[in-house]
Amino acid sequence: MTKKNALFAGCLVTSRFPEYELSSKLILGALGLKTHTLSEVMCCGQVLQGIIPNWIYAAAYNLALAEQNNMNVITLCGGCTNTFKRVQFMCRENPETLENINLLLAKVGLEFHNTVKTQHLLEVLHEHYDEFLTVIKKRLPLKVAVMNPCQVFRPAAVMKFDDSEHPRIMEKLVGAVTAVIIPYALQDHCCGASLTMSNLEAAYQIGRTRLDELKRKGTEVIITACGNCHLLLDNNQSAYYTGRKIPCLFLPQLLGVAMGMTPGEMMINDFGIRSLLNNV
Amino acid sequence: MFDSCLKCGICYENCYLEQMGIPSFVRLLVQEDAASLWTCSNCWTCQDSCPVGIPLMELKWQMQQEVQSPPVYTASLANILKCGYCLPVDPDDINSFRIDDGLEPLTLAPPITIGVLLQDNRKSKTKE
Repeated sequence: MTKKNALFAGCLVTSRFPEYELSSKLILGALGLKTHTLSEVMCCGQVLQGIIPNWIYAAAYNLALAEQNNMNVITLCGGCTNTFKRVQFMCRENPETLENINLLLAKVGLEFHNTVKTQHLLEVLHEHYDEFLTVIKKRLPLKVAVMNPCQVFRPAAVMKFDDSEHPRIMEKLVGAVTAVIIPYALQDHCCGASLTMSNLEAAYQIGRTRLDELKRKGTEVIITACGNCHLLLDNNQSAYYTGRKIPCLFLPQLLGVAMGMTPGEMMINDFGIRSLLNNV
Repeated sequence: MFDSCLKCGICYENCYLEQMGIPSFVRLLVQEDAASLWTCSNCWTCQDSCPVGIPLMELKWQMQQEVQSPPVYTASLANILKCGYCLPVDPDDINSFRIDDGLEPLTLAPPITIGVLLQDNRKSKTKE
């Protein structure tokens, strides 16, 4: 039986970025991939890793819920992708890990057989690249830079997607719909957003360095594919960057407009971006 | 796990924080210098570049688990125990917007389930 798809939004997207969840759902739908919201999910475990060893059970619980509902998992943030795939890797490498997980999951009425396929949105779009090209209706007149969600690519032995040191698949997807992609020095480096929880000034220094370069190179919009990157580079931008704002768009918002959906349908509210998309 | 370290410094050289002049947790592991155990953005470059395959990230998290977490982490855990998410999420507040937007409503995981999954049976943490 064909598996259905759970769209796992995670903590940050669920609480702050409905536009990322909705635009992902709409563009996946346009590719014939219906997605569902899983009931009773919880944090993927990413933020728990430095606090308690039980983070692994949080990840496994979500995956077991998907499995119970005959669903694969499509993730939207790097962190969720990373914890899910690592737990699945650990279970494959060490059967005792899976046994321990199941001892605990039994207490909440679940079991896990590690049959779920976890993919970040980028992986799904890349897997359906040919269909993706057929639904593109227009090329957008934007000068954009890509913010790669680093945890989708590393650790390479586990994630097994794209070039882990120099990821290029997001650029390929964005390049299919925009006029100009601006290469930049920090392109292959992490956004630094996780540091906002422990070393705010370091996070802001990284953000500022990236924005300074992108501004010099004439970037109009930064394209993101992770809630954390978006939070630091867009929502928090004014806290550390005094220049004129460079707005961010989530990748599926950009792709949705190129597929013919309206900026309103993609929940694009930024006035500057809407101006750039006028008459497209 | 750490005994096999060659002290080659490749993890340190590849850390983009160090490249930007920000002392990172890698320094703590390799040189035992003063640097924050929490200054890391989880990009995995250090671990992926280690020539002898030391699981630097796992070691970092194990060390972090032994000390007091920064307040934002503690608050995240409290939120998770309450609603399942590390940020406050209340279906009563957001489900009407979700439905209007075309998204399915949320149902939270039962707190008792989350409590079972996250019960920490270790001894209390030491202070950093």
